[in-house]
Amino acid sequence: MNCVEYEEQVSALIDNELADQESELLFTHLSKCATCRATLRSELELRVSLKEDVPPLAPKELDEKVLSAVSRAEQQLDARKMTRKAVWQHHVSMPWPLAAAIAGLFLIGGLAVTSVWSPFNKTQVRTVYITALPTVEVNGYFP
Amino acid sequence: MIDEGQSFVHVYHRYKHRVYAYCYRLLRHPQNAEDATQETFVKIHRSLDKLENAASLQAWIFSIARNEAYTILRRQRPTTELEEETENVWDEENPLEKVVQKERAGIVQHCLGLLKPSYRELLILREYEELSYAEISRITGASESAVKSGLFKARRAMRRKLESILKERKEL
Repeated sequence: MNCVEYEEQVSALIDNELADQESELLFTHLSKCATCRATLRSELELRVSLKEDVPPLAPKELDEKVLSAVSRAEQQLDARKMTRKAVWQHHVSMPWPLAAAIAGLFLIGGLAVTSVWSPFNKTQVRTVYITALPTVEVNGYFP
Repeated sequence: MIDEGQSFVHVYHRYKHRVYAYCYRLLRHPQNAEDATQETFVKIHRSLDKLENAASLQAWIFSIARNEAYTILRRQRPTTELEEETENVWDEENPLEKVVQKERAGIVQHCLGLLKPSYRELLILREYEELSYAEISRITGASESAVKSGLFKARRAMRRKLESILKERKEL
């Protein structure tokens, strides 16, 4: 590994992102290389300088902007839900005995249709007489 | 899933200053930072209940903020400039003369502002938000090794620029 590669390791070292073995190798190199030691020093100085910056605070008016935008979005969502519910209720609203009667009719109708259209009814039991002697009677299902 | 303690209002008050600071440092413009922060939280509100892993909340929030900030940055500059991966890591917008008047911390901030956005964001996420390489990788979509190498390049660029500015300052 050359000094440029070690410099990348120095950057990872100050971020505490080096594995133990990598740190060991780097410290061995640092003990012999003044250039990489200087890099480590200046990287630490850079970190200190960056940290001197006071983080900017979010302006107070942001609270109102965000919370009112969110509240508007919630109201729109609620209004959409209410509209959907109202349309559904308008179309199917009826007393429960009527609803039960309709459901019963659907059930009976469904059963009737099933029995008429059942594939089982398409097959019939027939008896066929074969006239040649000796007479043999054959029973069975024919489609 | 998100629990009661992570209702939108709770999340908003917990992260608003961090998200604003991140957007501000990336965009270098208070109004744009405010717009990006507002849009970030509107999007968070829309999808918070869909977030399955509460442990990744922080990375998720910053990745939304990053998208909003980059949308504004793209509006400000041509796309190619943001995406090219050359050694030209500086924006050349601000004249050097303005810089030499400032104190060291101010100069550092000025240099950070001049840095290419992709390098600037790595330094912001690492130095100010103190996120790990794994978290930065999740936010930026870059691999951890790309994060490591990007941070190294960003710091090297910062050091070189700082050295040259401070040297010029001494000569004045």
